[in-house]
Amino acid sequence: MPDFTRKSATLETAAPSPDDIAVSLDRVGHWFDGPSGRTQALSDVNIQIKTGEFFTLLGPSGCGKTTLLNIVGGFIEAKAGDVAIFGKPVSGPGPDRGVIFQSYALFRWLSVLKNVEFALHHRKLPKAERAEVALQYLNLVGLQDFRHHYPYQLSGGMKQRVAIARALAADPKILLMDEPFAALDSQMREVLQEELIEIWQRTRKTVFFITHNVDEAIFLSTRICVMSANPGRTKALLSNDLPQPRADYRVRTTAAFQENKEGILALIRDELHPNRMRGALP
Amino acid sequence: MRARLKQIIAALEIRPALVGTLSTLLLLIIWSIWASKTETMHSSFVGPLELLRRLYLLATQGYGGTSLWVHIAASLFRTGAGFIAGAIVGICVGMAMGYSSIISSALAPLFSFIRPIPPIAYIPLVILWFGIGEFSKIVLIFLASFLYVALNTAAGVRAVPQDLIRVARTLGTSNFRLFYAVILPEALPYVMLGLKVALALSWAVVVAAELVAAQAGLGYLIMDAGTFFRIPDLGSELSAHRPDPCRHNEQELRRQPPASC
Ligand SMILES: Nc1ncnc2c1ncn2[C@@H]1O[C@H](COP(=O)(O)OP(=O)(O)OP(=O)(O)O)[C@@H](O)[C@H]1O
Ligand SMILES: [Mg+2]
Repeated sequence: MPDFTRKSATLETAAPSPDDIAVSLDRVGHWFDGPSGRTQALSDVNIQIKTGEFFTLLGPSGCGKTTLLNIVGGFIEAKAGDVAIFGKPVSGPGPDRGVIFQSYALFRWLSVLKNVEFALHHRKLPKAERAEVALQYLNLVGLQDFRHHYPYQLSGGMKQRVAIARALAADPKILLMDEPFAALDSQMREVLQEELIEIWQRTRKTVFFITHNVDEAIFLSTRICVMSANPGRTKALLSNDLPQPRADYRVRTTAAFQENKEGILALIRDELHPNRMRGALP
Repeated sequence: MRARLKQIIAALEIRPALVGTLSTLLLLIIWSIWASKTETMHSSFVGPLELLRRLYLLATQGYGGTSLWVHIAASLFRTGAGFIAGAIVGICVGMAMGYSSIISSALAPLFSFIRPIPPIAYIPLVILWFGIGEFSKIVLIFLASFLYVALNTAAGVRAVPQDLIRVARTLGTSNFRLFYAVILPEALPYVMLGLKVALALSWAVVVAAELVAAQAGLGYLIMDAGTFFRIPDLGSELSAHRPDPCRHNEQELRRQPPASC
């Protein structure tokens, strides 16, 4: 049994050196103009994600998490501030950043194997090798026996495994995950969290993970950014000192885990009911 | 008694083919009886057996000196050519419309203007512009099928989830590949629906166009037979009543007074 009693969830102080910074967000702001006026989605977000880190964005619904992921992915352009990937300003999506969405976004007309092979297309692999490499990635998520199935024949957890295998097959440096397990039941979610952390430890990708689930954030991340809403801004950057390896469900019941959870819950509690008043009922 | 009836109903419910056959047979029997009762007064209303005999004659001896297959081929060719052209252009325009809201907005007024016009209404205009030859009919089928395919394809492309396109982009997919390997297959159910409606419409329109102006084709055959009262007697010869002297071969056919006269 590893020792889980170390102090954790300390406020971040030391700045990382600029060479090994995978994602750099500098005074990033974004807003949407609609018929009912302007929505300030993000304001003055400053985040530096180190290479190889498992970075989690934790925040309530509507605080701009997805907007931030879309900016890092290059799907939308930030209206203010600078966004850089390995020092280079972002200009559109690219194979250096793989994405995994809550909706799986599988190609439903392709078999599981062909879905993964799709990601190998841009790697200029010879056709004969493609199936074999794709199968290795399916192996990683334990779906080699389902390679000839189609997405509609899979459960939600299996679909998300295929999406993970497909994203990894493109060999990105950074994985962007937007609440990937939110649609799964809690048991399947925990299993996939354990699988993901194992994959992360084996591949050492930089992960930018979004969730509103405190347990998920604590179990997975090396660092957690707690966001506040209206407008979305970073409230606190915490480093998570839960010891590695963590791919063990017992971590969830340790004292250190509970301590971390308490700290984060205290941070976000006032977010959830900011203007709550106890008035008399009519 | 009640239980027996329930049993029969339950047995029939799981045998759709048997029920279909029985209902068709019943329909044919009613038709035959009805036709045999009215035969003396209305020779244009014939029974199923007689119709089958006539159809056999039509298939083996042809119509107006031309084989039935020539007529069918003429109609099929026009429909096929117009439909395929309409489908290809329709899919391309529909993809562009679905992908770019500017193209869609630019074409929207034109399309909403021509959408309610029944394709048959173009017949006079098309004949004026392109004559009564083969080309005018192909243009007509093209017009009829193009719109449905384009609008359905556009709707299908618009319905492609944004996440799917975003994922494909992060997998290093080129623009061209994005179109044919992601957007088109995802939109395919919509496209197929458009093609299905367009094909049915094309077939209806080709017959209508041939009714107006053609020297061959199924529409022509129907019109000609109708005009010269050949409904019950397609196999017989009516040269005496024809105003058209350039009909040939008709002497070779059986000489027999038309039943309708
Ligand atoms: N395309 C858009 N047009 C207008 N407003 C938008 C758009 N996308 C997001 N917003 C607004 O920006 C804010 C942040 O949205 P975002 O989707 O980033 O939140 P989120 O943190 O991902 O929420 P959730 O946890 O529910 O997914 C919200 O107030 C939302 O209404
Ligand atoms: Mg979101």
